[in-house]
Amino acid sequence: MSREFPIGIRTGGLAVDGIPNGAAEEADAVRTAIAELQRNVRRWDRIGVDYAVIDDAPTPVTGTLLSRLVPTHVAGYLAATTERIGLVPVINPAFQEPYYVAKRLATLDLVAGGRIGWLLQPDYSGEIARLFGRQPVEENVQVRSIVLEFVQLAAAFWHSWEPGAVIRDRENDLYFDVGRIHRVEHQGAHFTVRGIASIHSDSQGTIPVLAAHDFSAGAVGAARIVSAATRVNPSQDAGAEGPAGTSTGPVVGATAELVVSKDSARADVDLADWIVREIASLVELGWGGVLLRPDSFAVLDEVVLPALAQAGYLGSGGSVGTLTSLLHQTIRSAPEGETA
Amino acid sequence: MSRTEPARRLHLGIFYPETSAVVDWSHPNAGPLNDFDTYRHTALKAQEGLFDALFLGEGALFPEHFGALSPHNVYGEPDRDTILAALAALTTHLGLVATINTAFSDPYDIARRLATLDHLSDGRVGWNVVTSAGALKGEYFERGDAVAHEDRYRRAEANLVAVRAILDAWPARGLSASYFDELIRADVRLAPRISVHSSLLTVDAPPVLPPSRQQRPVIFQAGESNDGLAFSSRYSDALFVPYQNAEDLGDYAHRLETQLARVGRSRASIKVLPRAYVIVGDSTDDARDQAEAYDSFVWRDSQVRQFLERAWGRTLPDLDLDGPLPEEDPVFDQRLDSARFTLQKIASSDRLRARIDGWRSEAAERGWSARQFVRAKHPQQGFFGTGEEVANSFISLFERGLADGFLVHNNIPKHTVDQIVDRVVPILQDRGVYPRRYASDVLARNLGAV
Repeated sequence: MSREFPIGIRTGGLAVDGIPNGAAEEADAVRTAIAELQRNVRRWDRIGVDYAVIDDAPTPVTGTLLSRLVPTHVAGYLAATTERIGLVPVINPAFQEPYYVAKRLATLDLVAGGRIGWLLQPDYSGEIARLFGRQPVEENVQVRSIVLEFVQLAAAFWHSWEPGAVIRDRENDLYFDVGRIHRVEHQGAHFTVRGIASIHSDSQGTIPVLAAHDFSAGAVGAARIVSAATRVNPSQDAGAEGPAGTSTGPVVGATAELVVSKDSARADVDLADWIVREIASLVELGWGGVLLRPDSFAVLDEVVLPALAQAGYLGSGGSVGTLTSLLHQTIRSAPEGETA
Repeated sequence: MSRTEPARRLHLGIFYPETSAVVDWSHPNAGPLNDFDTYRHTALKAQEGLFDALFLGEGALFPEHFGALSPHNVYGEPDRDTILAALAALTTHLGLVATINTAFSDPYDIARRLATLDHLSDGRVGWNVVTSAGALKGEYFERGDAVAHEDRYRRAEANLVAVRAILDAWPARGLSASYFDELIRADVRLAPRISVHSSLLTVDAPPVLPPSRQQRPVIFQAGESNDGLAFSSRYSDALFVPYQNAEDLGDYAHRLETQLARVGRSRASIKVLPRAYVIVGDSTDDARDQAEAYDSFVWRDSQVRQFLERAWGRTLPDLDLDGPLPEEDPVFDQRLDSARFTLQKIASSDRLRARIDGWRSEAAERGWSARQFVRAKHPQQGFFGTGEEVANSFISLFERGLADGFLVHNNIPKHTVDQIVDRVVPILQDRGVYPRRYASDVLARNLGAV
């Protein structure tokens, strides 16, 4: 992770070809899909894709097979066998406990050595609420308020152990420097929580949070929020757009999403040429990075990634860095008025 | 010496402590407790030793002592699911057991997490069902104290039944067109939702994922109390118990069989795995010396002092550990009574005072200092000896039907598992009670739970 225009891949739309049919083989189908994802992400890791977003479709009526698996678990599984690629699970904070979400992300970051991000995708709708026996939250303003407080609280847990809190001083029977441990004492509009994280977050300290535009502005506390997915295929809109400039607060970049399928380019345009031109135009328009949204592994493998590698958009497996350091590149490359 | 696979075989698991007064973090061979490398090492070594499973607990809090953070106790608890998901990618046969509480977790969430882990590991997941979140209190959570103490087993049962229903609800009919996902969507619309509306929990959820090769996670439970045992006898595939000697295990076996008979289950349908503290030495004397060194660490000054202060319900600034037990009056504060420090719950101030008086008399009569008293009250338990002696002790309990195997407590991170796998397992194999290869790469089949 070392370049100036980070390229990520969303896994949510990825379908696996050749899945066998029949109920008796469903476990095999899931196994095949997981193996295919792992094989591909390891390949992306080697060729220099910057990060993968692990999507979330919490009920079987939406999303693909892969996105019904818990994204943080899939990220943990992938983290163990990759070295450089950032891994960004989608987490819907609705009806989750900030303590647990903070703990899960800190643990992922420990396993991945600082390569973890969090794509914040709030959904407090009735369909989600009834899974948990709760009431939906309908008002956007209310959702936004809950979510921002949730993120603030998660960050407070990440910071409850300062780096170097574990000292393991055998001589003096001191496992901790308790001066570096801080209790979270939070009383807000939506949460009242008191406690201490169960794990240090030494790898990145603060896990970078990617959020849809609505949730980025105005985040408070120590959380670092990166605006993502503010436009889908922006250069294809009638008046090719750069990132919107309404953000205030600790928003540090803007990432465009680009839907990629074998039909993305017009019939008379070569897909490889199309993707390279699209990315060049996003750079030109002032976007800080791109998140590809492919619908199959094959289109990535056969066309998109070779074309991006050839055009110099993919790193060649340079130094191992944190996702935060990668996103700092995004901050620097974000256009005027976009950074906090 | 048998070279064939044993019919009834001994099982081994490794319990990875997350915090404890009994983790020797100062041992020269101890790995850093919370580094992922220590988890990886432990899992791979356990798999090399054909262990059924790695077992992760949950719910410990940052150590505090009378409101102050304690610098002496090892602590750190990464998220269990995440560690197990990562280990699933690095192992092929080892079972992966997650502790998930039923107090602060919702059935739909638990079902999805377990189903995901079971698929990532391709059928190697177990669920240790706990009724509360260990020492975790409601103050950590948005929802607060969700379950009254007396309702915890009812809530656990409702939760477990709902989780199973969600996991089992995947439609059994085959699929019929080219795209798996489209078909799953089509089929699921025909499947019932799992709806529970009770005072204990509410859920209205569709099936989550197709079943794994294991069908459903193996259920583990502690089940020591009568309520716990009643729960376990209905739902558990395996039990882990704190007893390590024949007498205690015999009593437990009797209680268990009574409960199993009530629900029509045979003793053979459930595995009993005592938690085992193990120290392997080059000789009997060496093992004894190591055990003594370990015990001295466990009961180092800070721990003796903390024990007494908790027992007295107050800080004891003038306490001389080599002098008599404190003369100060104890202070009754029920919140400080904690089974984690082996003190039995005490119902009243008078009973606390009576107990402390009894301790003082006993210590005076025997001429024990405060330190000696505390050590005497905590006799060392476990399996200490050469590899052969430890194996013999295991085999003795196994052959008498008091244990189906052992959940080894990895008290010295990295070191303990190395010792067992290198020095005890080969003897168990030579004695014909332990396999020479995995029977399966599915946890339930290895454990004989199917």
